[in-house]
Amino acid sequence: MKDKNVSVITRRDFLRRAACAAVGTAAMTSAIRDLRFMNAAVAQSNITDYKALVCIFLAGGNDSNNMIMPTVTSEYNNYSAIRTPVLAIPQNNLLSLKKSDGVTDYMDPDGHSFGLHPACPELQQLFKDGKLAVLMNAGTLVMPITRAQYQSGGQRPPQLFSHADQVTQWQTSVPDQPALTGWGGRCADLLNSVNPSAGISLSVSLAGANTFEVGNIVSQYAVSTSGAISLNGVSGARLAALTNILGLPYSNMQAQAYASVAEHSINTGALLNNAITNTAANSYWTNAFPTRITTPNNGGSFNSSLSSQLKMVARLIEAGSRAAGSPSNGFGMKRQIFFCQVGGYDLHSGQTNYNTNNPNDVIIGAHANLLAELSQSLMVFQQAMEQLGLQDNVTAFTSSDFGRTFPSNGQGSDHGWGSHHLILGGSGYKNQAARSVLGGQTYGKFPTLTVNGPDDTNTGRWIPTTAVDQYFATIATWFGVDPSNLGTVFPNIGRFATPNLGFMKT
Amino acid sequence: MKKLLAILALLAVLAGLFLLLRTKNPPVTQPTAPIENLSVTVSNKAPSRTNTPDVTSIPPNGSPQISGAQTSLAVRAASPNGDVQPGTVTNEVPALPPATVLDKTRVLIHNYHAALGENPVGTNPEIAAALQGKNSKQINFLADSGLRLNGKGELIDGYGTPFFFHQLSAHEMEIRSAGPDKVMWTADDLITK
Repeated sequence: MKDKNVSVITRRDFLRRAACAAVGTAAMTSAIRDLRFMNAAVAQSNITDYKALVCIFLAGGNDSNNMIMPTVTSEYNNYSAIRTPVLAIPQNNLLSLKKSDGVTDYMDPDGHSFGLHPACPELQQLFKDGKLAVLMNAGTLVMPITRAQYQSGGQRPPQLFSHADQVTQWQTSVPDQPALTGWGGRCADLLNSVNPSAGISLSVSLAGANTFEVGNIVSQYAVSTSGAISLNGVSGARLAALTNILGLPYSNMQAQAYASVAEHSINTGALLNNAITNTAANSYWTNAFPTRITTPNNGGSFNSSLSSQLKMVARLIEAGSRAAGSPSNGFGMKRQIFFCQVGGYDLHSGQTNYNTNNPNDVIIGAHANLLAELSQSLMVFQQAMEQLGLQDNVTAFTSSDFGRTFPSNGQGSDHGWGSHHLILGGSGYKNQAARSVLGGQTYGKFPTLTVNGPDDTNTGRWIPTTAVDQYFATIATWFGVDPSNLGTVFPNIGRFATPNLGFMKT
Repeated sequence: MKKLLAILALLAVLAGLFLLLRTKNPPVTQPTAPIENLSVTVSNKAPSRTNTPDVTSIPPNGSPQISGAQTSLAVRAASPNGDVQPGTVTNEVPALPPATVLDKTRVLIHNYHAALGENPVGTNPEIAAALQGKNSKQINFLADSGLRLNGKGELIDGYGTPFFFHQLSAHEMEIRSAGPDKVMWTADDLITK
């Protein structure tokens, strides 16, 4: 017999009410978040200069253990012993990081000196000129963690060593919550108000849709290496007719929304292509970008995706920073964020060309090709920025899924955790007062390259000593995110010792 | 006369019992060749264990016990479902075909994902430990699976080589067996997701 005082909720009722409650909670959370962003954005509106960020994502997990190596004899010997034979770059092939005099070896505060992979002479030059900074052993962290804490089950980022998850965590800088927006997208949301009349989005991708630029307010705009992506086979009268059709009013809301998005996309594409017309292939600096990369030391020769992407980024920076309206016909933007990506770094096998007949071929191979592409492309991009006079306004930086295991698996390396990264830009030592990137130095702590050493999980995967939050908060602060808003963009930043690692002049 | 018949009947019953017991418990004989010298052909259907030291299968309680005795091939020889039959002397190689071992591993990862909402992560021993119960729900997925670990706690394939787990995402895992040549990243590798 049922108690009449008890209201009986059917399963259907329960689900309906729960769903309503969930939607209501989500909407309220979203509204609070948007309001917070709007308030923060208002506070960010006093920006007058131009700045751009260029994220270069090394997809697959770069083996930074072979990008930057120790040159102190005992440390190199340790490196060589563990990585021999398939991955150990001979010491006489390393390109030493030098001080500005070009003679004295650079030494970090802990007494480490370093050499770059022999495929990277351009990076060596950029470091010597003070335009390239190196950040050691950065990675995803929920909070600082020691080896002992790691081994006793301390809080680790979820799904460590998994490609997709680590990519997401690097690009959101929020490893311990479901991914909603990228940190680039959140910066764009905050700073979008400084581009009031921009014809294109603050966030532009050269590599299609990405998590880094997902925002609540600003939508990312994808372009190809040849400009705006246009409708295939639709031009001239056809395009005019289509535009007219899309401009008509539609009673169906979905049809209206689709028409609006399509029309906006076509108009933006036309605007963008028009703006970059004068930086086409015959411009003085765009010719410098190589179509093909040749790896030093008789390495490979191949078409470069990264160089093409950075060339288009350079053209869009030129157009974006140029004044809007006639006669300049630029976008008159104050802030731009770009995303580039190059794949192929997941080198479980074939990382080098080492073979017993030609052991010195360890310095060439797939990884050498990728590093050569990175090195040469970054050099040309920096030169382009200098020719445009924007070298102190544009900062490029690398990201990657994770580092790789220090010991070889016999043919390459496997998924690791912490890794070393590059930050490029600025006038270098030529103009100490103006330079943006405080290059010619390394930042962070170089790990002890010992399996089961203090920085190792247990198999040569470095426990990061710098969080991606700190890495990106340093860049975001330079970009114009007010320190009081850092917690909005990087919600976990308060868990780490400092939000500014000091490699950017702020 | 009756006494004689009774004695004969008793002798017949005793003889019958003796024969019956002898049939059930044949005398122990040694193999004709030392077990280490068994000729084993490496193929997709008949994997070799001769190069696989310290192999143990997962007992029903899920706690692999690796001992010196278990390192002998006699103990390691597997029944059709892969479980060790202690004391059994056989020259049979494990009956599970390598493709089956690979598929069972795939199913285990799938089951883990279904129970925990994500794949296990880490190196082979870390993933093996997670599958054995070192997970938030303390579920042992390996018990009674017939899959095998080596002395390093690594899950091994049908040829005795540790699997390589390529973690693509929280929901997708590529599992790679080195194949008959036991060398990873060669043309004969067996791969599944």
